[in-house]
Amino acid sequence: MSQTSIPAPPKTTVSFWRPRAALLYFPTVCVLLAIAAVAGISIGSTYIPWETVARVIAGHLLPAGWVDVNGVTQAEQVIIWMIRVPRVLVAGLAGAALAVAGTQMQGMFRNPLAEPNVVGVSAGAALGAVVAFVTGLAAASALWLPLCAFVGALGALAVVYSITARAGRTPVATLLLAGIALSALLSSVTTLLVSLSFVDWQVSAEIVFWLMGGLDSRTWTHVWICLPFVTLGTFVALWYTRDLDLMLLGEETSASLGVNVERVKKTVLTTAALLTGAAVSVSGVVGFVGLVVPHAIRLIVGPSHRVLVPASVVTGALFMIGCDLLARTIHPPTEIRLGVVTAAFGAPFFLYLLRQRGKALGYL
Amino acid sequence: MSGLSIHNAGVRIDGRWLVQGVNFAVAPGAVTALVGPNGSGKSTILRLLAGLWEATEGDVELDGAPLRKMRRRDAARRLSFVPQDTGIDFGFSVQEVVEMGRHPHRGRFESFQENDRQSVARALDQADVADLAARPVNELSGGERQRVLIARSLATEAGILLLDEPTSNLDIDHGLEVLTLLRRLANEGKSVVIALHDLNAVMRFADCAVVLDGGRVSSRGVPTAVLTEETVAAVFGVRLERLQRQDGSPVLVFDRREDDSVVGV
Repeated sequence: MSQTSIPAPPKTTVSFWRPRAALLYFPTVCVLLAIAAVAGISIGSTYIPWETVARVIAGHLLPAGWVDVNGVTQAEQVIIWMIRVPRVLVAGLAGAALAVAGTQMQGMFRNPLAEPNVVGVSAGAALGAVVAFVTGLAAASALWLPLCAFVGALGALAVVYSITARAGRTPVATLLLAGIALSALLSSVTTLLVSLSFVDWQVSAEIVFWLMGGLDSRTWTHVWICLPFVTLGTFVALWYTRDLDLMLLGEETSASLGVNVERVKKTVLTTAALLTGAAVSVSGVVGFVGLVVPHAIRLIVGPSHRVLVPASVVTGALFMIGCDLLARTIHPPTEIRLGVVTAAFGAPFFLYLLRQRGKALGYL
Repeated sequence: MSGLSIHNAGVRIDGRWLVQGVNFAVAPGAVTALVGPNGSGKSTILRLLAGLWEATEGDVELDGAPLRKMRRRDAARRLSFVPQDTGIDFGFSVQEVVEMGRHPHRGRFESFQENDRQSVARALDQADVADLAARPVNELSGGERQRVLIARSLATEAGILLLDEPTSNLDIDHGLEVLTLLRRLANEGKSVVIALHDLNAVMRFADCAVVLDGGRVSSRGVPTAVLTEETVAAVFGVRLERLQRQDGSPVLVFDRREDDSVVGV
């Protein structure tokens, strides 16, 4: 056997710039995330200077007496701690959840254009939530809406999976087709319920607004509802990063390298459903985050999930907090629905990606 | 018994037997070619040998133990499967793809060790792709990509390589390049099993040919002895003519009888 030495990679190659891009990426996004979070708390119908924001937050997090909060009005304290902080936290958690779910789905389907909705999870969560509205459960307790959204998301996944599974195998193409069909069915039921709900204008307005996505009047309850699921889901995603990398080489290849392909698929699908359910239950239906954010990150840091998953957490949070800030400030005092803003950014970018891919494949 | 062997194995899907009564042992340190028409069971047998499919009846044994009872990771250290090239849509570097071959040897959060690095470097070298290490794998030519996939297999340090039509998407030059590489690996001690359509390549590169017909082994042995006019006529339904090259090695030429008048023979 000849002595092996690998030549140093030339500077134009992925091996050279990718680790460096990843190294720069995290500090940059974290700084932007901090700026966006503070801006999201400062800016609103009443502007509050960032120093005041910092003092109030520090006053709550640090032991009593460490921070002097004299001179901050009671109103400002309430606006910061009871209204805007939970809103920004919910935005961050929901954005992170959708981005991680999207990353996992794209890896599992080996398709950079997949997102949580392709297996019907978002449509299921939306239907569950609409049922909670129509039946009046949502008005009875703040916990019913998220619960119904979770049941909807996991129920949709269970149906799609059981239709697809055959002799212990779930071909991803069939999974996709079943997901698309079930999505259409669930959406039609949702639309039916919405149209029937118009007898009560207040309920129907609430539903329609919710279906457009939004973070108005989010409270700490919403933070506590989604925090455990987002944390758990992200940990599972981190646990499976190497398996997902291998899945990108194809199912047979990864199986022959020792990956338990069916178990990975089941875990990834369930995690993605939980994350999507968590996000939808606190922010309504917000599209394109799970599609665009992972794809955009992949262009910068490369396809390895070890980097991609943590990058999705911070970038998804940043994207959602930024979009929510825009939704509140573009046209005051009216809030633009969050789903409109994410789609307004997401859709053109998605079309751009399609165009690029089309060019690469030679059919555009 | 060491090595990989298949005992009286059959696979039935939806009531139809894809293969049945298959018996043979993979010759150590040799190239074994599975040949036969489309649908004769080459890919099925490779998947049985790789442990990706379970036999409906019969068994596959690896080093004397049934493969189906073995943990996937344990099997993955001893045999490696390269499926037909489907392309890779994601821009991993060649180095990263070959490093994935170390998966069965590494704990979940275990970092890359010195022996992992050595295996990867050796694999890149053996498959002659060290100079491509930093390139994104989705920008390579078909021949280069196939060699990278073989390098990934080599990085597992498995003694047995199973390949499903590794040359099917390649032009003549790249096809020969891949077959030469496999030949060299067998000479260095690997046991190689390939599904192959090109009978001339089988004659030239394989030590043993297993001829499949309708899911059963119709004959096996040294290619020059097995690929006779009678066998080829019976299995492939074509007329075989044996020519000689200047160095005396045989070349096979095939004709469909009824087409003779069309092509003017």
